[in-house]
Amino acid sequence: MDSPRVLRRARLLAAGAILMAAAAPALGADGAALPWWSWPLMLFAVTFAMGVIAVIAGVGGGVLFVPIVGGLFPFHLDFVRATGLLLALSGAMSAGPSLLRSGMASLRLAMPLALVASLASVGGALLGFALPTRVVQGALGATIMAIAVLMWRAKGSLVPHVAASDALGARLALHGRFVDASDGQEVHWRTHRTSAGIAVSALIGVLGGMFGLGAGWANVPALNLLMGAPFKVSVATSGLLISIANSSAAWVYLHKGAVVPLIAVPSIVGVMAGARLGAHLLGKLPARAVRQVVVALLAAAGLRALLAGLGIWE
Amino acid sequence: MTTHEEANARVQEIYARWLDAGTKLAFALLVCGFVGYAIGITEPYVPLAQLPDLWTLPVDHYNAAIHAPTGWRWLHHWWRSDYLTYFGVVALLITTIASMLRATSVLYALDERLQAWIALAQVVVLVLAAAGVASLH
Repeated sequence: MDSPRVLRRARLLAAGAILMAAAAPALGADGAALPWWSWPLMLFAVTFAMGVIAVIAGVGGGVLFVPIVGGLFPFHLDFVRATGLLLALSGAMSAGPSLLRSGMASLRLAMPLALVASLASVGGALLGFALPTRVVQGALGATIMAIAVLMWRAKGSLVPHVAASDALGARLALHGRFVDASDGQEVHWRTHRTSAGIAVSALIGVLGGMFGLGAGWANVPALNLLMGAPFKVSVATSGLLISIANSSAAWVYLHKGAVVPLIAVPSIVGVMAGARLGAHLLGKLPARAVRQVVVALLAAAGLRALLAGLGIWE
Repeated sequence: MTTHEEANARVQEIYARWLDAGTKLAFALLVCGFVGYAIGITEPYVPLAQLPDLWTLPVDHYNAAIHAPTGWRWLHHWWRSDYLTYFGVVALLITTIASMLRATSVLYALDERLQAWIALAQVVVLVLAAAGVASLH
């Protein structure tokens, strides 16, 4: 497909999704007035657009889904968080096999962090159900705004210099090598500050489980800047971490009855289909500009959730 | 390639194979289940037209309003078209457990005892979460 045609189609899809999203809250005030089938269609359109920009901006779908759908659609936050978690899980599990085979994702590195993160994410999910909705919404808003700041400022380090592994890292053999496909170079890596990495994973697990967010926004800086894993290994291993940690929290949401198929399935399919187009457009759209739009969107959605949580903007 | 790297590559390949197969199966179940739900293959537990009045409620109120079966009790209504979709979700979640369990046995066979114990602990955490030990009390 030639580039202008792809761009035209992408613009049309995005415009359609935005129109449907804009219509959703107005119509959602009297949800029964809409036929049931319009909801999955609107969700599909919005999440498709999200899937496209998530790939181009290099963020997970979950971090966009929860604040944006939570603000635009009339669904209670409990159902949005459950879907956000499943959505992040689906994306991470789909990408996992190829990332593992390429050697960029390291199961050895993910396992100790995932063990702590999955315990913490169950705690986070339970906390999310125990706290009043207003408190969860306000905390979600503050977290999303912090993520927007982190995305705006964070600079990854391609291959951080790690002089030596720490004792725990050496015991767990947290090292490896992969061939960077961009230049054919073999990259040898090792990590350090393992205990700090495990502690941060616990905190990330709580936030991921509580708000239904994929945690790539936090995992990648933790693995790359804190533990010293190469940027590509951090991105790939973060997906593996999400696929393990989110699955333990997802059981909590499923058992609580928060998974509503009419919300969850169109959203998962929409983001996955959008991500495929996003991957196709990756080299054709200005990633930096798209990332800036995503940061602005997140900041606005975070502010909206924070104000709703504080009772200022119902 | 050192023995350690060979072991690492072997575990990653096997984990990837199980993850790939399980995820594909889960998506197929999820999509088929949803198509069945949308075309009304069987009567859903919650009528589709009633959902917009219910999904604005917190999950506890939603469950109370429809007497929803929580935990694994949805299996008593497995043929209902909305719960048919749950099989895909469950398959997705079980895939992680199955893949990690397979990785545990490979790590143990390769004499990577510490990694095998970590993987086994992960399986236990996931199985307890699946059993609803924390969420159903």
